[in-house]
Amino acid sequence: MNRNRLIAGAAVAVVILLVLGAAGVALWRSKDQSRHTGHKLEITKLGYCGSGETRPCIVSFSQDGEGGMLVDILVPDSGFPNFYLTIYRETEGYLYECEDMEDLPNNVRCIGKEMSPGELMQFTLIAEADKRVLAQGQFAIIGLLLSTPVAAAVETPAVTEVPVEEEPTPIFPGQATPVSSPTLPSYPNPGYPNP
Amino acid sequence: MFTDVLAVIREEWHIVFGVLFFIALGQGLASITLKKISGNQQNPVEYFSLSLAGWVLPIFLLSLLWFLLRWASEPLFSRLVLPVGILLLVAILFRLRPMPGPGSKKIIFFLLLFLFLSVLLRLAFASRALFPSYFDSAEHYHLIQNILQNGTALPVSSTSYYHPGFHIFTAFLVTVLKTDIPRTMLILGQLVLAYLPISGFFLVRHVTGSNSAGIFAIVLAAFGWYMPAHAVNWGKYPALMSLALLPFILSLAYWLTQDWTEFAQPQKRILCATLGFSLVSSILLHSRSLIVLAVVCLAWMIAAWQRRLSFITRSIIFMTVFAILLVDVFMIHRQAVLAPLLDPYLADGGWVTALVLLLSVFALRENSQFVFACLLSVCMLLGSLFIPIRIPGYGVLTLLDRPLVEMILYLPLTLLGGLGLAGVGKLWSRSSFSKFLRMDYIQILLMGPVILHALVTYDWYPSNCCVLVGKNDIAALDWMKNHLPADARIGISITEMNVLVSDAPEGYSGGDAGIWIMPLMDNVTIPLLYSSDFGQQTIKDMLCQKRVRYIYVGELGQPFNSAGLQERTEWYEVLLSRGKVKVYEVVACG
Repeated sequence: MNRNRLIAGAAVAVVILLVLGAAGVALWRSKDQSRHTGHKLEITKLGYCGSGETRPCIVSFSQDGEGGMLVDILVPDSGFPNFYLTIYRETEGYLYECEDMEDLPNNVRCIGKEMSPGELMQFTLIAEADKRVLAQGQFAIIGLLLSTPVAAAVETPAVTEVPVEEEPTPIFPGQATPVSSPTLPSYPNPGYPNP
Repeated sequence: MFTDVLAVIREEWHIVFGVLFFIALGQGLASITLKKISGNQQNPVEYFSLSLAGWVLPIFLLSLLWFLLRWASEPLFSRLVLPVGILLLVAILFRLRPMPGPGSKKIIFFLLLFLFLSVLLRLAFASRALFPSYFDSAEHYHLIQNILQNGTALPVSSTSYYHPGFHIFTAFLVTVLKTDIPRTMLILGQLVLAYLPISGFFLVRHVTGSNSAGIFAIVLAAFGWYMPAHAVNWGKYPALMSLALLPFILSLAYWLTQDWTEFAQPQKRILCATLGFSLVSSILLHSRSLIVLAVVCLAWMIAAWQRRLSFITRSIIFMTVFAILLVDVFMIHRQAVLAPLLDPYLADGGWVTALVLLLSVFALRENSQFVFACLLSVCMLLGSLFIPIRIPGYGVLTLLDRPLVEMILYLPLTLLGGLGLAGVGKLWSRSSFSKFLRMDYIQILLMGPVILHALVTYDWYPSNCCVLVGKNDIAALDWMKNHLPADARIGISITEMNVLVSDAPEGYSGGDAGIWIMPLMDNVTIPLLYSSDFGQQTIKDMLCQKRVRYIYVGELGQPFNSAGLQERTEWYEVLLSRGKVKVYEVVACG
């Protein structure tokens, strides 16, 4: 009897889990797919780039060396409308002007005020022509890339006071590793990507 | 696809059949050992499947012996291994007679047929892979090469030295089969992958007594999700090999604990020794196996303990585990670094996971301890991503990392699916519906979509995500080997590696084919972040300070941006240009 009740309880739990999961996935998918429907209110979700992206996505955040922040965005194709980026932090909004990167046809670079990593912010791509929202997403900057190599970055006292090694530490014989700093922010690219 | 597979077999038959020979030899030796443990009491199908799951163990121990006795430099050993091995295999085949009965023959035939198809399907990968994928492979190459050249591995104290088992194993095969390292690594990886699904059969068959349930577990492991197969795209060969041995260890442990009283003392000793060797081998093949095994062991003990409790308490514990599992999934989904872990099981193979969870309910009646242990293992494996540990030389890491957990989750789900199907079978046979529809059809109904889904969606070839070496890269690397000075320092692209919830970089990963320069050419390479702006004075100064004389820009992955290099012609001179691949000389330093 007890065993039957245990099975019944587990069955109910699994069904609830499945229903919730299915609803979540459906909701998630419907957001992603809304841009294909041609609906008036289509807003593509903006996030970090994974592999095989077919929607605009954030490649990286980096400092421009003059107190500003560069946001590199990958767009699906070169026909993607011109846009600007807005970042909302709490109630304050900041505008970032964007332009195509000459050497990388599907990449757009936006420049504006530097934001601190870790805070949850809203990112919106707005078409220049008709002010339409092209993509929107809420996430934190998980890494702000310096525009210099790690070794050079370490030499800047403002970043870290770790002294530069005369000879790099070998990763394995013959290969040198960059001098790493514990304060160096990370690049927002999850290693080992899925297909 | 068929022509691709044939091309691999035709051009690399000596590696393919060489590795297959060692797999057969390993299985034969495992078979003999298992026969010693239980005489002829074991079901022939279980013998066969368990020995298939354990093929890694004898060959790994042989390679370890080869390594420890420094036979790498003994040409006589290399010449003798194959003929002696062939004789041994023939002797084992004779010894294993009599042949199994007709019922068992059918299943063994199915397992062999599955292996045949699985080998063919997996070999397709090697046809389009010029080099093993991603940056891990370059490091494995270097360590294997070191064993072959120096007859010894790097000191264990070196922070970069890890998973020595896989490198010793591959070095052994390279020596004995007289093959090259990248292709051996590649084909060995594919064959390990082809055999891996079989390893779950024994456990499910032994627990449920159902061949169909065991076969369903195989189908799920092979085709249910794109993991663990996708791991070859990451060069995660040590983890894969260790994972291939894991079900064998679990099977032995289960067998030992369940049938302890039925074994005589000598049998117990052999079984315990085999289990001990398997544990050590698994940890040597991949160090984090220790944590995985500890997690499974703990889950099993908790599952056994909770059976003694009252129904109410058990229900509360069960619900709590479910709730923690949901929290785990929610937390992982929120973390950008960890979220990809869920892709194979929720986004791409969500319906297979749902099917498995649904089926697992039917396994509760007969195997509640097993189901609970599987769920708890999943829960703890996911939870281990959030538990920090400090490892000397590596800093603060977590108990397990995202790629490993992503690879391994298929195993508990596979077992749950197999047990669930057996549960449905038992329930069905008792019901009145069984008169109208045979259980076989229901099994086909469940397996069919899983196989069909795999055939339609599965990518049997290398994924673009992780291929770092293109044809132009190979040409450029060859050119560099012949034209650049041996003492030249070459700047290569790297990216930061993030797979931990702490967002702490776990290290640096090669951005493009430049990561292969050092292993292949022995030149010193200076890693620089792929985003380095070579037009800047500070970068140029740093290059001069580090005595970087050449810069390599690869074809694939995340190479350097050539813009700065092209603009500053007074600082950098193009030596080689093939498609996107460029080799620059730094001429500004004088």
